[in-house]
Amino acid sequence: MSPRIVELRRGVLEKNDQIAASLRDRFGTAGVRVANWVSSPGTGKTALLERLLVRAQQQGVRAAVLVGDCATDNDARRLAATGAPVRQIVTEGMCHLEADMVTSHIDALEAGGTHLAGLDLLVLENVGNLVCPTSYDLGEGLRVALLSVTEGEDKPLKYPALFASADVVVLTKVDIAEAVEFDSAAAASAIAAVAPGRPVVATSARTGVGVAELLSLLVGPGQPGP
Amino acid sequence: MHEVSIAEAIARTVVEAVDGQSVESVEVEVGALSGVVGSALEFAWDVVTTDTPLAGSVLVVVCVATTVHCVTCDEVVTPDLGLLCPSCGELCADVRSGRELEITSARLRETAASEA
Repeated sequence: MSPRIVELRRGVLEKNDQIAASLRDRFGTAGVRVANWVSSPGTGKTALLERLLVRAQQQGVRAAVLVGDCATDNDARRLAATGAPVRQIVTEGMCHLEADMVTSHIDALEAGGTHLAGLDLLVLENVGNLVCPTSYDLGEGLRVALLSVTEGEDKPLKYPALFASADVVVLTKVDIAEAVEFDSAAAASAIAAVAPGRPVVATSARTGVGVAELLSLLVGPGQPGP
Repeated sequence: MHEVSIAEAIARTVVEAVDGQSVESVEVEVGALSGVVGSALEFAWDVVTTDTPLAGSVLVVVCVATTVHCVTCDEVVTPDLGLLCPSCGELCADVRSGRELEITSARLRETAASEA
């Protein structure tokens, strides 16, 4: 007698994907652009976001942030200082955000009076990690992979799955590129090898270079321009 | 290292699907671009299934290689480093396989009930 086989053919992350799909519908209905920011720890996501939020306010772009970290609400406090609505998602050790966490924090954001329909842009700042966030759809419209000039030009080749899943690649800390002998041509070819055709934006949170360009990429056409 | 949460997701789906029947093994397909490491997943499986209906079952990981369609060669190829065509060196954005993360089947243990 042969053992019985139960055919399943089910996506492992089906449940997360279903929650992400309903988030995507919800974002679409509200007319808010949503970006999922992913990088290694220390790339400068939060510093760049601080600058981006200030720029957004100047341009009349209504932006909010959900920021994920394993512990502490330090980043949320930094970002809230810009005046934008911010919520910290403490993952208690988990190395990535999942769609159900985003859902509950959006519910809390709305309960606190910040409605999705009143926003132009929602940034989901993921936990610093270049591996695990790859698999988890958060319902975002754009996935943004960030890479700092201090990390090594070949990082996209070392973490191809994450960079391949990105819609936009952002270089950070370009103000110190020369000091750390960053080879921008090598970085461009590494990015092109795993994420061909994606826009690459060079930014500096210190000087503000590239921030306006990034903001218009995130909010898309038809939104208040620079 | 999110293989533990991936293993938990697999276990949850299988437990629901087999409705109390005893499971001998579970087969999953893991693509090279999925961001999941097969050996870590197998290790996590033993941990997350302890004291569950799946305890003692084996997780069989079938690795799926990355393939891409090269526009220049008009062929589906296994890319070199990154997503480069091994023949012409062209960048190939059209990924045909490698992103899989799927539970394909569960093999049930032979029991008196199943033979009846």
